[in-house]
Parts: sequence; C-alpha cells; structure tokens
Amino acid sequence: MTSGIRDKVAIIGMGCSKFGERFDCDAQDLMLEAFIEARADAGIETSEIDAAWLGHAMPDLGMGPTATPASVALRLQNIPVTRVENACATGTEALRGAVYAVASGAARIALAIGVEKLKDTGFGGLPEFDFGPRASLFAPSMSAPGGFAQLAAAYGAKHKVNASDLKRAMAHVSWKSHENGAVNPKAHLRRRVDMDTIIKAPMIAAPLGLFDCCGVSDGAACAIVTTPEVAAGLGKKHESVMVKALQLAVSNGVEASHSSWDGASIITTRSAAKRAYTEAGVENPRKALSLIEVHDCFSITELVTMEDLFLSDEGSAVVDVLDGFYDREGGVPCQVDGGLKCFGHPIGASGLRMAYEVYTQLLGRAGERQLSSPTLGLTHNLGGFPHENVSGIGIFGLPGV
Amino acid sequence: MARGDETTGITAFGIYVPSMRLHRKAMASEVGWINPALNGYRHGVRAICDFDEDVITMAVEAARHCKDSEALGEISAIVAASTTFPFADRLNASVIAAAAGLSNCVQAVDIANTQRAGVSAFRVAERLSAADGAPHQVLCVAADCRRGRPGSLVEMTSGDAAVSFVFGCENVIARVMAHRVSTVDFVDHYRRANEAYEYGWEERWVRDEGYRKIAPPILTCAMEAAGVSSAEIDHFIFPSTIRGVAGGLAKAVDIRDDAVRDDFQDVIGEAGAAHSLLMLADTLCAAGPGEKILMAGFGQGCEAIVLETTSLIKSIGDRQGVRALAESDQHELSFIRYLSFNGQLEPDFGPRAETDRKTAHSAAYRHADRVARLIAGKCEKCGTVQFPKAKICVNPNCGHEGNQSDHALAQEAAVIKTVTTDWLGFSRNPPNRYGMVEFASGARMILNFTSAPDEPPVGSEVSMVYRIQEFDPYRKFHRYSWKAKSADGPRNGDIK
Repeated sequence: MTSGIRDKVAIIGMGCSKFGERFDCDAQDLMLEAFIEARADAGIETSEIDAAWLGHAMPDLGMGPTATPASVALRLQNIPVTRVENACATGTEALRGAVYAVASGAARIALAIGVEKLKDTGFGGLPEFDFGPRASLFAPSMSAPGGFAQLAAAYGAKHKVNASDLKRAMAHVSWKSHENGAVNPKAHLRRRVDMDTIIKAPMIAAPLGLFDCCGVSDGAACAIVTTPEVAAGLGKKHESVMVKALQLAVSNGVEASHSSWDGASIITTRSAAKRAYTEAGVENPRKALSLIEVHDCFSITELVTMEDLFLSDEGSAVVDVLDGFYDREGGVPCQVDGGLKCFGHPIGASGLRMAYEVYTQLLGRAGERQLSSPTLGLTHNLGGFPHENVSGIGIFGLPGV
Repeated sequence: MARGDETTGITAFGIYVPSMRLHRKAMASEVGWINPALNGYRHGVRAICDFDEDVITMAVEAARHCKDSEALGEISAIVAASTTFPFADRLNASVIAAAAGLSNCVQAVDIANTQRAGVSAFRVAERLSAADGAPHQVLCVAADCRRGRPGSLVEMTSGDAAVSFVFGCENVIARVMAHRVSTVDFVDHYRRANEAYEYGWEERWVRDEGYRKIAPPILTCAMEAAGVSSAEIDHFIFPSTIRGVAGGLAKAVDIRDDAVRDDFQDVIGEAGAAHSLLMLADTLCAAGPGEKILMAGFGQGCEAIVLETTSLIKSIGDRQGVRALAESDQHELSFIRYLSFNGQLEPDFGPRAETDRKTAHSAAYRHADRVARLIAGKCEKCGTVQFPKAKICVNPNCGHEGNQSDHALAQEAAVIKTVTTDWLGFSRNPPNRYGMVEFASGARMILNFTSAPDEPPVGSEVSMVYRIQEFDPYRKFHRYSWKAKSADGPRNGDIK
C-alpha cells in the first residue's frame, strides 16, 4: 500500500452557492458565488492560488469545453487550470486534482471548483446521455432513474425483500433527507414531505416515484487546499479540516459482461470504500464516522450504498434505514444537509457540496443543523449506471483524528 | 425439365404474426362517421406490427422460426417479397439475411411493387433452388404491413404478417407441379413511389373485370399443366379482401367449395404480398401426403402455382396453424397509438424526443456482427461468453489477452436479472421497459423489453427478437438491433 494522502493536505476554505433553479445565473455566476465565500473563508488573495481544477460534467449545457470559462470568471492569474469530468464524481475528481497537486509540492495553494448549470434545457430531469456511436448501437436509451431503478429489482430479488417493504424503506430515505433539507438555507428543496405523499407519488421509473429521485438544480461549490504547514502559517491551525482519504474506483466491464455481479450492489463503491478506510485508518466505519454525505441520486442508491460502504450488514440496510440509524439523530447521520435529494445534483458541484457540509459540520459552523462534536465525515459519489460507473469517496477529519 | 424439378421442393416454412391487435370495432367507432359502410367491417381484429416492427423485422422472425440458425447458414440465396419494404434503395433482403444468420455469400433479391410479389418470390426461389443443375437451399420470405388512409377500406382489411419457405432437396414436404402466369396492367389500385397511401377503384369493377376475367384462365392452365383436374384440388388459396371472390373463382373453375382455404380476415386481415404464402404455410400445417394445392396471387395479372405434398409432410407433425398462432399472444392496441406508430398522428413526445439519433454508419458496419447477428465472444482460455466480444477476457479470474471465438446469442434463451419501467426516458411507445438479461451461456446484456404490456418479473425467461432500435426522424433512417421479448405464447413450429 502506498502512503496515501492522509493528513498531507488541509482544507482551509470552502464555499457553496445557493442551489436551486437559478434562472438568474450563468454557471460563471454560480462559481463566483462559491469562490468568493471560499476565498474569504481561507483568508487569501486570488493571486496566492497556484493551480486550479474545474469540475464541469456537461459543458454543452453549461460553459463549453476547457477550463477557460472558470479562469475568466474568477479572474485567476494565468495559472494552470484543468477541467475534469468523471460523471457524478466530477466534483470529487476536481478536489482530488487540487489535493494531489498540493501533496506533490507542485502547488502551495490550490483551488477545486465544481459547477453545473442544468436548468437551461427547457425541461425537467437530466437530458439523455450520449455514450458515443458504438454504445447506442445496442444499448437501450436509459434514463438516470431507469438505470438505478434496476438496483431495486435486483436488491429485492437477492434479499427477498417484498416490493412494498422496499418501497417503504426507500421512502424513509427520502423523508429523512427532506426533514434535513428543510432547515438548510442553501438547499434547493426545503419542504418537508410526509411518507404517504412519497409512497404515492407518480412513478418515474418503477419502482422509483417522484420523491425517490433527487432534484435537478444549478449550483457550484469550491475548496481551497494547502499543506498543514501553510495552513498553520495562515493562522488556520484550528480552522481547517484534514483530508484523510480520497479514493476512486471505476468499473472494468465485469458488472455489465460477467455473471459474477448480482446487480444488487455497486462493486466500485465497495472497492473505493475499502481503500479509503485503509488510507484514512478507519477500522470500524459504523463507529468511526460522525456523518456521511452519500450519492442519493435515487433513494434506492442511498439504501444500497449503506451496505456498499460496509455500514449496514449485507441485506440489512432496509432494517437500518427504517430503524432511523441514518437519520439525524441516528448512529451515523446521513445527508444532514438534505443530500442530493434537496440540493439537486448539479453534477460537477455535488462532490464538493458534500465536502462543504462535512467541512462545515466538523468546524461547528452548521447552525440549526449542527451535529454534536463530529470528528470524521465521509463523502461518496457514484457516477454512471449501476452496471458501469465510477465511485469517488472522500474522508475528512479534524486534525489529530 | 431441369434436373432439380423432381428433387427440390419446400423443406421447411415459418410463420410470424405480430402480437399487437387492432380491434375493427374500435376502429369503426373512430372512423365510421367518415364512411358508414365501414361499420360493415366491424368484425374481428387486425394483426399489427408493434412500434418497433416492420417488414424487415417480421421477415427475420419468419425466417428464424423456419429453421434453426445453424441450418440457415447453409442457405445460398434469399428472395424477399413485400410492397412495404422500408428501404427503396438498400437491399432489404440483405438486412434480413444477416439477422437471420445467413452467410455473406448468399444471393439476395428483393421483389416488390405488386400484391403478387410473394407468389413471384416463391417461384423465383423455387427455380433458384434448382438452378445450375445442382440443388441449392434457397430461402423465400414475404412480409407486408400495408397502411391505408384512416377511414379507408384498406385500413380496415389489411393485416401484418410474415412467412418464409426454404427450398432444397432434402426432406421435401411439398413440390411445385406447375406454374402459370399472366401479366396485365389492370389498375385495381396503385401507389406512386414515395406516397404513403394507395388509390383504389370501385370494388365491383375489380371483382367483375379483374378477378373473374383475369384469374380463371390462369388457374385452369396451371391445373392443366400439372395434369391435375379441378376436382382433385384439395386446397385452393386465393386471397382477396373483396368478399366472395375466392368462392366465386372456385366455382368458376369447378374447385370444391370446401377446398377454399381460410383467409384469416377475422384474426389477422390481409397481409398484402405475403398473404397467399401465409395461407400456403397454414395449409401445410394441416395437409396430408399427396394433397394438391392451387395457390394464386393477383396483381397486374395473375400468377398460379400447383403444389403437391409428399409423404414427408407427416414428418413436420401436426403444427399450430396460422389461426392458432394469431389467436395466441395478442395485445390490444388503441387506434390513437396505432396511428402514432405509423406517423399518421404526431403526438408531442416531449423535448427528449429532440435528441439527435444519428447512426454512424461506419461504426455500425464495424460492429455489424454484434448488432445484426448478436455475436458475443467466447474466451479461448476460460470459456467465458461475453458481450461485447473483447480482446481481454472480462472474467476477473482470467483476463486472458487474445482472440475470442464467435458465440451467437440470438437463438439462446435468457433470464431477466434486472428490470424497470421508465416513464422519463424517450420512447415512441412509452413506458420504456429494459433491464439486464443473462443468457444460458452466462453472457449478459442490457436490453429493451419489447412488446411487453406489463413489466416482466426478475427471473422470467425472454427470447431475442430483432427490432427497430432507433428512429432517426431527421435522416429517415431506422436502425435495427436485438431486444428481449417475454417467452410467452406458441411459436410456429410448435406441435399442437
């Protein structure tokens, strides 16, 4: 095992735009909103940033290709700026770039910024994905909910959970996030929704109803990272959060083409989680983690992720969810900011938005939704479809944890 | 006489009736106001292509039902007939050939533009099988999906179906005794190139000046050439949507009333150029040895063929006939949905329908084996069958780098592993149903579940069907590929 990234890099400033249907804004405006907050938080000047990574997944809807629009919008100082895209893990990927740059010594202070502008399509939901001329020759045109709904069919069949019990557990996932999102001023959807409404909502892709799906929003989030030494020099010794692990795992075709995958779990999440726990020195995640922000693009995804992160035992996520283990007052609070469910999923921003909540909670700045004395938090992204995807996991903690 | 005459004949046949049904009563209640006479056609149903079916896909099904795919690889020629081929300049038979598993060395011919095209194709295929003095296996396939203007009689009476025959020299179940034809430019109806609908003349004139004057001499000549008297004809096949035509012609040439074959008007409708052959296939399902069949097609003249079954007809067993097939696996289609399937109504499918679905022909050709023939790869080291075929084995315990052998999946049974019913993603026939299937060989794919009125459950069995995968409205191109269909209902070839 390599030495890993643990405690080599500190986050000294973060920012997050108000998420929502930002019909008033371009992607550039959203980035600036997040950037100004992060820069003030870090207490640095733009000129102190040595390198930047932009996460932007859908350039056709947003700012076009390359990282130039970010550099222009933020008036960066002709520094290296790199655009990255890795599906729903795009934000985490941008953070990884910045963190690795600092860890390698290539940059003293680096910026990671993620943004997506989804509400200029003229319709609800995400547009169709284009996987190029080869895939479309034989693959069905699958929507995002249609892709993840299949997890429910396979999970139910594998663990012999009947459809109504599974639907109820899925509804609890969404109910809990709406409860959390209602008290977060930066969330897009801030209305509480009762279980009955969730269960009876119109079907989008069976068995996922409207409230089993996350919102579709515009938003941006950003992080400024540096070494612990520089952080201390900036007077940030007690106002920074350490990166404990950043891991990524990508499918290699086994799920889609080999009979060993049962369709009821995400292989890459398990792989990235194992490596992340090792990197961060976490032996018992169910006990060690103070909070988690996972990729709840759909309720079933969050439910299955609880097992893939080794928080719930195989086949017991339904029980844990219904027991409230992942509720705000539960053993491992999940989506205390409202999650993708209430923030929506501006793809490039989501990973950084999750890190923003962990950062905010660890520094005790979460106001009404503040948890008591959190020390270690996890973020998780899952991009693509269950049968072919990329999982990104970040673990962040207070210094010395 | 050519040497093949006495040795070649029909060795196999296949029938395909699509599962969508349009109830004429429902149609009449929608269009009866235009022409109250249509209320007289309220009886029965029309068999209709699903939204992703056409002449090519139906023909592929009929061919696949005819023989197993390995045997189809030995076919040396394919003759396809239709008046509604999707392509005017792209050999339709070549599309059918690849999906049906025929080799690249086949002679392929399209025969079109007349309602007697099916009988002509049958004759051409039969002659080709005996050509050059050496018998060849030749596939004849006919399919049609005629569409009439809403409120027209054609719309009320036509149906969609496909049928196939293999001619060869081994296990001949019926052979051609005689063939006679006349070609007369009799315009009972016509459809100009690039027009959606035909224009027809008065039925009484068509019946009296057309059928009754043009057909009898040819029928008589064919029987004379075969050395068969009209009293010896056991089965008389003469499709016409004009009531009483077949019976009237039988009477005119002294064929017994009870020899006139069922035309399936009440359970399918008339399948255009395929209809005579469809009736012939049905006849063979029930015929005994030594029976004489007179089949004709009518269109710009008349083409008649006399056939005789051999003693080997018994070898095919007591098959499910066309009526039994048509009466199983039926799903009712609403008239509005039918109109939208055919572009006769353009519903608002929403902004996702705007996505460009252009086909990269270079990529499609590069992957022709996968797309048209559904060929997967089999690792030469560990034997894992995988789709798509790869240069590095997908088995995590193998990873062998090297060539993989071809493994055809089209005929293999598969089981559903995951499923969803998607109301969000674009489909011309929402909701879109799809999921992962696993084949008996262990290969897996994510496929659309087509002609599935309900969500098929995890664990249920599906079979592969060749369907239209994508419609490109901007470039008027239909791309075909394989989908999964629940394995319900009998197939042609099933014994009763």
